[in-house]
Amino acid sequence: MLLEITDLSLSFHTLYGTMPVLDRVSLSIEPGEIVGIVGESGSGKSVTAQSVLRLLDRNATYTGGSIRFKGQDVLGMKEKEIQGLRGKKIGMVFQEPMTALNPTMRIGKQLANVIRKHQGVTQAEADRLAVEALAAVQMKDPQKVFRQYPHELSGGMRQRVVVALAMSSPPELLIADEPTTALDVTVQAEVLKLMKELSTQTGTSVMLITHDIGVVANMCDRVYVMYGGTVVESGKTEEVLFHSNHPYTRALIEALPEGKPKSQPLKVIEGESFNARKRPVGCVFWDRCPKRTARCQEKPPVVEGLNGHRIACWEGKR
Amino acid sequence: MLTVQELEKSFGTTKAVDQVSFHIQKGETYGLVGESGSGKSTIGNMICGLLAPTQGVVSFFGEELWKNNRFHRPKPGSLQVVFQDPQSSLDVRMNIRQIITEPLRALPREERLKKSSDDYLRELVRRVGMHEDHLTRYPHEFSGGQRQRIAIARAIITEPAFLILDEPTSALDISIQAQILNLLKSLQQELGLTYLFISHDMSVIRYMCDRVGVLYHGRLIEENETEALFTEPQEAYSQRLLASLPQMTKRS
Repeated sequence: MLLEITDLSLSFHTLYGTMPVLDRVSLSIEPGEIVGIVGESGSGKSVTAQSVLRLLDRNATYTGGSIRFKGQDVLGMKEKEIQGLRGKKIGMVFQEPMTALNPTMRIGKQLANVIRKHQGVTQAEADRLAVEALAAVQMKDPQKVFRQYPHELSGGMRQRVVVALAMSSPPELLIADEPTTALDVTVQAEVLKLMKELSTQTGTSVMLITHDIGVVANMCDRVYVMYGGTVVESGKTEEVLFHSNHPYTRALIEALPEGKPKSQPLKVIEGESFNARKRPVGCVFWDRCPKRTARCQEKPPVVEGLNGHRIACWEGKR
Repeated sequence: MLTVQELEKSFGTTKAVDQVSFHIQKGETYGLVGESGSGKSTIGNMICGLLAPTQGVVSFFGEELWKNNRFHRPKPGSLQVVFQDPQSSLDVRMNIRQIITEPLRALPREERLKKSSDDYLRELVRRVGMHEDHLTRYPHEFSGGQRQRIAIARAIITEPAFLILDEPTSALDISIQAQILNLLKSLQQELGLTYLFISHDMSVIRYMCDRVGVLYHGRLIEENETEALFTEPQEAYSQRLLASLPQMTKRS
């Protein structure tokens, strides 16, 4: 197991008091796997990703559970040890490429700096590897991009530079948080394809955080569906998307306009998006669930089905 | 109802919109789809009077809207807009009643009084799925989906014939998007509205629109009935756009 998160709970201290954000999240990633985390706003998908690299602000407290990367306890690591993971063993790609790049530094220099840091090579060698890394993310003229500044590139090219930065010294795990959400669909398709190819070539595992079920369908081997800071369903992508057993996942897929007849209204999930300030005691989806019963006011059990397909729901107990 | 003829907009030397022509019939939903920079919102802005065209004609019920760089308002309140981000399109210092009734300022006194009455407003907020108690509250007290309902109430209070919907669900979660799309469809039926639906989301466009125009670098490269466009796109770019769409069904 490359990454194993077990029963992770986490709270934020805010003006309104202590707010639980993650509630016993368990998640694992095997070497070479592409694993999706899908959810709407407030589901905790980004917080889960950031907790792996301990990137959360100081107002976040880990209240339970563990994160193990290759067996090492991430939460128990000293700051120096975690620095050794960031970028080198676990790479990260965020939604907005402009904020991930230094606007005052040429692309080549940014890349070469990272390569020298991680691989301990000479400047000349790092420069050569930087051009290679740009070629690997299918830049048409890597020599030219090497000399350019971020503002001279389009959004799609910038995100490819960020992927090049993350993959130049292939990490064992790449965490990609909505990597293509800011991009146009045609560019998104290119960047996703690229990430998939790089993962296959280098054996890097990918944790792909997205709100887009279509992206999960096209990219991921397995998927975790999150709602209200908990994992409500997980399993092989086909199983979860086409044979879902959880009322939330099913309702979410039903609510997509894709492939739905024009003449009929979409099936909606009633109510508002999850609000952490009004967290229910029992099942997090309780107030919006079409199938709720009195029992749902208690925390639902995690039920394991075939092929590791799991749901957290009282309904699944039958 | 609405005709756009050889519409052009240049920003400096860049042609944001280039020779675009289309027409929209009463009661239909016409979609404009394209990626960022394709000119779709610029076209919407020229129709509703926010941006003067460099060249070309926009006419609404046969009346030219732009003459000599001046916008000639159609019948007050007959053409309204809903924008993408209800966070920034609602004034945080106004309560919901003030926000919703603001467009009435353009109407004649008698109509204004009728439409700002408690009975009328109660019916209006109920129609968009809100509650009359909400009228005295402020935008920050509402979620994104509710704010978009408020923006829709503000757009329909004048009983418009035509609505420009500029990415109305792009900032919303999927579960909330479905609610708003259903609301827009039922309002269209109840009130006989005509829509210009601007979006980058192909599956939303397919679900909502009767006819669709595809924009690419400011040009309308293809236009067709929605199903025909989606099943047999003619232009290479339309084909590429459809092929790029990450879809659940492609996997199965």
